[in-house]
Amino acid sequence: MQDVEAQWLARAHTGDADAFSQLVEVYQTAVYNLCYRMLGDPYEAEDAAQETFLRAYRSMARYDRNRPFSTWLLSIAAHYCIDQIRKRRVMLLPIEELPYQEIQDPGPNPESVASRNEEQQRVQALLESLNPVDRASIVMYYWYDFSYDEIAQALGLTTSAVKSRLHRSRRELALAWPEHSNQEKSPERKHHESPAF
Amino acid sequence: MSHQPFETWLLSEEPLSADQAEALQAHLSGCEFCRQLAASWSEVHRFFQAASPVQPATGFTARWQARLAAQRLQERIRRQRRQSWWTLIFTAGVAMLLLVLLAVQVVLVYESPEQLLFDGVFRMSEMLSTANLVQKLLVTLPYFFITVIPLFWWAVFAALLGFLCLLWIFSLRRLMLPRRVTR
Repeated sequence: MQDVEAQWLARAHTGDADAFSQLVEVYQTAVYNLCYRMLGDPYEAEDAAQETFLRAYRSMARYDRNRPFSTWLLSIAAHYCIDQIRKRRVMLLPIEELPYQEIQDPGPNPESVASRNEEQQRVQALLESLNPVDRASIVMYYWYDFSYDEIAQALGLTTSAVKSRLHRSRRELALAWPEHSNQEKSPERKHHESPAF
Repeated sequence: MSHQPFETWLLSEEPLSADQAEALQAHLSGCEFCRQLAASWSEVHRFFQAASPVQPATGFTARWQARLAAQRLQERIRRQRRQSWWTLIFTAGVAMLLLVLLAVQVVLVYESPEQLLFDGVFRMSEMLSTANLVQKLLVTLPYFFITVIPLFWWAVFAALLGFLCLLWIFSLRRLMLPRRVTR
């Protein structure tokens, strides 16, 4: 697989779109998952993942083949998502106008699907309490097993900055957790639901 | 009450020494805040480990290829537009340069405006008489050819012209068809 990927990379380096499509096929889940964890919306995540691959394809000439392709690709995705979150802050939409969030899950059991969706939404709610760069660090550390150095390289930070960001994020997440779990246990009646009596 | 360095140890993923672990346990037994923090973080950590990667909708690569093709088309249109503008600017520049050179020539050759006017009228009448001559020639030539060339050769010539027209239309259609993304 490594050899085949090296061949695709070599061909993609010369601008071969077919070879790059193979790389898209292999890394689509990794990139999409990072974008989803960062942006929290499936439509925005799809758009960000597509844009990440386009940017990577256009910048293939600048890619250093001594560096892992996944680190380079996820670095592009993380930077793009951080920019999107910063732009999003400028034009905040009311919550009613946000598109309905539906997570793609091919699981056959409806109960497990519902439970997984609930879990994903809880994870997203937790991650959204972090600032974009901290969120990217946490996602890379826990979902991609990146080392401190790899995260530092991907996000353009120093290793000590990554450590301190991760520490701060863990603290924020731990402090936010009781609030999130209380919200889950006592959900308020939504405005469109019928009254209880 | 100070929670340091226990808070750092609690949230660190680095292994603790035996002394550090002992000190942390001692602190936790008397600190409700740190106990709560440790329990919450362990829950969050478990939650992160349980959360599976999210998959994109099927056909992601095909959508990417379509997007790449659309972007390439846009880039080509932009490039063509830019080239057209540069050609226009270049042509206009050359025309301006020629006009300036012409103006310089006119100033150097003619001593007074009257001389320029007379010369202009003279050249105009000369051009009109030449045009008249060409017109007469063009009217006379077809009569000459019609009488000299037989009808069969006219038919051959018309067929050849028709074939060339068809070839031209076909080539244009081939050139205007959108290309595939793949090489």
